[in-house]
Amino acid sequence: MAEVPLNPDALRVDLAAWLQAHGNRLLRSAYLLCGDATEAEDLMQETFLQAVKSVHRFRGESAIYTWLHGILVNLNRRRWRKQKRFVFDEELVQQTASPNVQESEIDREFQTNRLSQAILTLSAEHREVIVLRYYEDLKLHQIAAQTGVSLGTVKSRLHYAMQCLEKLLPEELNLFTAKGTHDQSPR
Amino acid sequence: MNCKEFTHDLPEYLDRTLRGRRLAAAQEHFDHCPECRLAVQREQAASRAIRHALDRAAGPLSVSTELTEQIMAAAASQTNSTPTRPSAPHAWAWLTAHPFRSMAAGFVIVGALLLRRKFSPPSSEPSFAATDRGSYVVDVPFQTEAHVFALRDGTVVDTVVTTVTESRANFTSSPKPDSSPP
Repeated sequence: MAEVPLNPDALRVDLAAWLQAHGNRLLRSAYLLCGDATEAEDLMQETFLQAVKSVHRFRGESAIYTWLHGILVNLNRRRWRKQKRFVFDEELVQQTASPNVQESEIDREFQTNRLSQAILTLSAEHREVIVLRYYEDLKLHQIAAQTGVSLGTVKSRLHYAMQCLEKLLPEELNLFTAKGTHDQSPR
Repeated sequence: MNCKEFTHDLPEYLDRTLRGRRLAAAQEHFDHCPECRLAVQREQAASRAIRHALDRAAGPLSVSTELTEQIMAAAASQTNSTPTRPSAPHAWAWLTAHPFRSMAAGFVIVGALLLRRKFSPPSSEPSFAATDRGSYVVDVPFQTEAHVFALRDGTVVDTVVTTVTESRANFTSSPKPDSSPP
């Protein structure tokens, strides 16, 4: 078990090392979670301040990045609960999903842009599960542990997040067709 | 296992966290169901596309020197102004880590308080004692002023208001002639 120094000077050195090793990845994750670059920087700062405050609770049972990312996810949830910013609604789906996209426009770059745009317009809860699953490459049980919800809830959120993406993306760009992974009828 | 059950287990199947009979059933279904094999391929393609989109969306961001300095300065001032190891969370951590010991200690404390209450004299009632020189000692705990009736042959001969110090009042009765009842 790794012992974390409580000496302020040693801590400062660690903080610099943490920032160098994990700062960029955490900042990107923060941006994907909150959807705003300035807010992501604030979130980063809050994360590191919280880490300094609660460093005595870190027992070295997980990697430092996992621990820092857990703090980040919690702070982001606290923030979105405070702001009550649940962006997703049917009107937004109608605005975002344009029905007549020409065949010639569908190239990989365009598809990627549309997809990232669609992900950033998801509700905070759905965006969180997508980011943890596909950006952080966490398995379902790891997402459950980090967000403090049950495995069933994670599966359900992931399912609905994918459904929202299906709605947000025009049919031509849709990777998840009706006969895809979610609407299988029993044999 | 049918297609619906396979679809339900698909995330764990892709995570390789399915175990035992569920894994065997899923594997068997996958081997024999072309629709579900296609579904797995679509899911994997969707995952790749989402990963790519997320990488692209967040890719250009990096921690600036200003942000690093800002975080270091804020962390340094926080470390200097607050104790690094607060005592209350530590005590709470001990309590949560030892629930049975905490409960036992709670029972002992409550029991001791109940026993003390049972065997100690009632403290709110003042005790009254007359001395042979006409003075009185009154025990009136938790009060600052005592209203005392001086009795002679069963009748009130005087009332005295006196200030109590250290839970005990000493005074001498000085009956007035007109205060005696006929």
